[in-house]
Amino acid sequence: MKCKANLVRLLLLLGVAAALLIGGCVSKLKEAKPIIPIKEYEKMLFGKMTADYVGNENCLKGCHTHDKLALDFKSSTMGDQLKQSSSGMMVVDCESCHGPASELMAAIEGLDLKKDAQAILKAHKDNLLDYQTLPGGAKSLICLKCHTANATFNIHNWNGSTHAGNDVTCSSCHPIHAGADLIAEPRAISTLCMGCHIGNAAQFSLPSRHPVKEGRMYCTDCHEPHGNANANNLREMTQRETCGRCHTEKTGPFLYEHADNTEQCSSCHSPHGSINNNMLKLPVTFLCKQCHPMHRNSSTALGALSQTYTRCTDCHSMVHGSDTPGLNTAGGTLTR
Amino acid sequence: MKKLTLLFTTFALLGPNGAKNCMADYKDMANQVSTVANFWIGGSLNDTSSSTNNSLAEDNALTEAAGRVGSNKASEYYALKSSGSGGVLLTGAPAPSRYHLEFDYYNDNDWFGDLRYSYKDYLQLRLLPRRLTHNLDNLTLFDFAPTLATTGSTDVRDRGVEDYRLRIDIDEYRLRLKTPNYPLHVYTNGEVIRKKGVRQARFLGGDGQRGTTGIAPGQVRASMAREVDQETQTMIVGTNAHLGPLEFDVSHKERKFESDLPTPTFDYRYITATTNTVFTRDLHAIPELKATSNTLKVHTSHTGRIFASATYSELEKTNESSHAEAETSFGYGEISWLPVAYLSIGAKVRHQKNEASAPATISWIDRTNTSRTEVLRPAVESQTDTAIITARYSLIPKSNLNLQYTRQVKDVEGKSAVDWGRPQKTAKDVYELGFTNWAIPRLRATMKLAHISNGHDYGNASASYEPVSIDPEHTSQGTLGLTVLLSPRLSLFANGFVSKEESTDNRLVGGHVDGRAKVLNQQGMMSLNFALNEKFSISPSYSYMSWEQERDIVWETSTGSEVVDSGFTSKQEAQILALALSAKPTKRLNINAAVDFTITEGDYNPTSPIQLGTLSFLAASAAEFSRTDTKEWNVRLDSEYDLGRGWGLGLDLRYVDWEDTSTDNPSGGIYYGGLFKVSKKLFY
Repeated sequence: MKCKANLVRLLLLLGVAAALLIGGCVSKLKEAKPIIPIKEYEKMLFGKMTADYVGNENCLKGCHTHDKLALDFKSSTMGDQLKQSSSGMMVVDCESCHGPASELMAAIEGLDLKKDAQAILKAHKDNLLDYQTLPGGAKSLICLKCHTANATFNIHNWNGSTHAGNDVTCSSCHPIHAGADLIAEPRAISTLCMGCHIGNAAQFSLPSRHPVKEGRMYCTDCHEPHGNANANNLREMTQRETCGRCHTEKTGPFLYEHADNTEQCSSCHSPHGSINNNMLKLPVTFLCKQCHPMHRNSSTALGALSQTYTRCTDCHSMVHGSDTPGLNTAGGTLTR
Repeated sequence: MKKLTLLFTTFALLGPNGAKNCMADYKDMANQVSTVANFWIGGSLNDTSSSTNNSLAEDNALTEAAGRVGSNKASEYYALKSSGSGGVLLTGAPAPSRYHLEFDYYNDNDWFGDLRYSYKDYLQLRLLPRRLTHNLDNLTLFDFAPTLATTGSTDVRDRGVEDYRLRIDIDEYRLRLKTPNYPLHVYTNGEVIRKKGVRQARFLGGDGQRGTTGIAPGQVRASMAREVDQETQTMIVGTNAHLGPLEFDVSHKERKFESDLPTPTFDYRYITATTNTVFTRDLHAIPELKATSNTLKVHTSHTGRIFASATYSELEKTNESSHAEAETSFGYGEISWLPVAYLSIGAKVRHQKNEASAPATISWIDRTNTSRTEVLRPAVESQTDTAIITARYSLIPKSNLNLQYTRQVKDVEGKSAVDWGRPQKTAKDVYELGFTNWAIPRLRATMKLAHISNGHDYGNASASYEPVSIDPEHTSQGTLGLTVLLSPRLSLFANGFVSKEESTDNRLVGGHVDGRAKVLNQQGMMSLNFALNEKFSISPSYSYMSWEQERDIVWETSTGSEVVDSGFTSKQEAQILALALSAKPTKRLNINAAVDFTITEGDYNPTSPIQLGTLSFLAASAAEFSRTDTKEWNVRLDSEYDLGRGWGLGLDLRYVDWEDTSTDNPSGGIYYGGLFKVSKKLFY
């Protein structure tokens, strides 16, 4: 039955792909139409109304000819790689993002690059888009204009994401002029994230932690920074599935579950770091005792020992769930 | 079609004024970015000295302390191998291709790779192989009342074992194909995660008989080494495209988990006052798991004043070993509206439904060699609905006031609630107020206040499993972050977090016992960044974290009645002192160094007289047993020297000194790591 169901799903998937392809032949459907353009932002990004576009030659020949950023950008996906002649996509040039430059050209004409450096910089600021003053949404809109049209993968939920709502923009993490490739490098991501999330940086110095500080894991192993449908931007729909990416053996389903506590791994674990072993939020004995009275107590040694002086998981070692009954006549003790 | 796409994107990017000049052809700019080839070769040295601090155990003649190896905590995530090392980084963008080939090999338990190739926007291939090491705990089972004949015993079968560690491979791939001139993608992503090694298994190696006066003699805690060889395979196949106002993504995912090793067995002991039976049974069976999910995502253009997205996903999981099954369906929708540039209003809804099924009964042979059959409780079935309303108001440009209200209702299916002692309904209200300022020169401030309240409807209770819940009724949280540029060379970062939880009617076991709880969590961090000049900067920082609580808990007396231990307290603290240095004493030399010193301490204290450690036979009081006391020095030094003509020397050093003097888990050790590199950079 399952195989048949999977086959049906696969056929459905192929059907959708075919429908999308056929739909793609209808030219009107190629356009990513905004629902009511945001005029305020559009005006901000338009630049000076009195200026005209003059082309990259003026920037590249004049001053930025030998700049690495010019070469990097030219070689990037947005530069020659996808230029119109080969792909139908636009070449993104300097003025696409910085605004029309004719008035800048007029303002710096005759100025000496070394002697008048400050005046040239001021002219750039006065005549091109001033990124320092743009609201976050407008900054991101510069990129989103193409990346919506291009059906970029992981930004399905960008506009509603926590980052977008807090003025974090595309260029906060993908510096546009850093190189030909704008992918955030995996081993640099954690440092990037902790530039803002400085509280988490301290947690990763606690004794029990995931190896983020050691550079063996990255924030994006668990979180989707572009936003998604899941709580806390987790990569999977639940905590159990997110943690289960690596700790699959603990995800079940099992015959003997730990009620629904394992659905939320954070009921017991502090994934960014903890004082306690196994990233537990509290010492294991105290943690378990919050819900469980545990074994019957008495004033004898065993009463005391079994309740306060034993790591509960030394005996209940399958605390995340088990398929095996216990040794006693009652099964679900999560002991083996 | 091609012309229309061109026209649209031209207009969208540049507007009508720019259309005539937008297609620069760069005829006289023949140079592409240089292809970079960077090679390095060298060697890595890794060593550790593990030691245990068994002072308390030894002082109290706890024999388990003898011959103990302890955990390799100092080198927890470092591969303890010395080896030749090397790496390569090749990047280039010869239109219409782009490639980035990066691979660093440190030793055969530690490597990283990021291999990317793209052809125009038609094909994108990325491979991300990664191998890391996790040195695992090696804990000793102490008998804290060895002088009493009636106490539990231990069965330690892994004495002297030094190498508890896993080698973990995380190999990811991503392949995307796109149709020319139209953004229809077909993609497949996936990964294989393989864990291999040896870990400690601690478990109940046998037990005594539950009697009216407590547990009879013979509760045996056991430990032994266990091999691990597990693999998780995940593959996603999907397609993504936009159809005018809407973009779609449909994907199918398969995940499979299996262990390549047979289930281990153990000769359990069952001891009563008159018998001592030994019987062999398996333990810690690792099941074979499969999961399948289908996801549909739809969203509108990100460039509009109104934005909406929806996601629907269904997940089916099967335990192939025991035939337990679980199904989760998940729906999400959001809409945001920007009526004016300074105001954004949004709403989100999320729905999750968990269903489960399992065989009705299970049969097994118990410790007395008797066949048993038990009726199984199916796992908890529940439904959680969440609604979120948000508003963002920009008081002045670059200053935001965020308001958010969240209502979450979890309904546990009636029978599940009764079977598992869960509240039938839990409603959570979250009120959040946030403020961010990027507008004031030299000051960036963030502030967030949140209040969370929980309410429960416990519904019908069963005599066996009465409802239990320790969710706090009220939680208040505050966060404040400041970044201040005190001078062009000096900046200050400060961050504080306080969370206070209060409960007066926690349902503890028994269902009719109402417990109180107060929890206070605090975190503060302050860092200075001082640039002495262009060649030297220094950043000292201090972090403090504490977790403090006072909570009623329940003991069960020998006759089975509950006694509330009122005001059981716990406090844990961590302090982290860090110093980072960056120096460029000459044009050719770069040095980065960092030192972290982390100290933690804490304990918990029951108030019940029978738990206070007043019993003379105990080796340690409750406070002593529960004590946390660790110190960790973590030192890193990375340096590079440019020899000229693309040649370079690199030296990375690591030093970790770990000490844990707690009673429960004493360990200590030092880790030394070094990586020496000779590198050559080539440009073509």
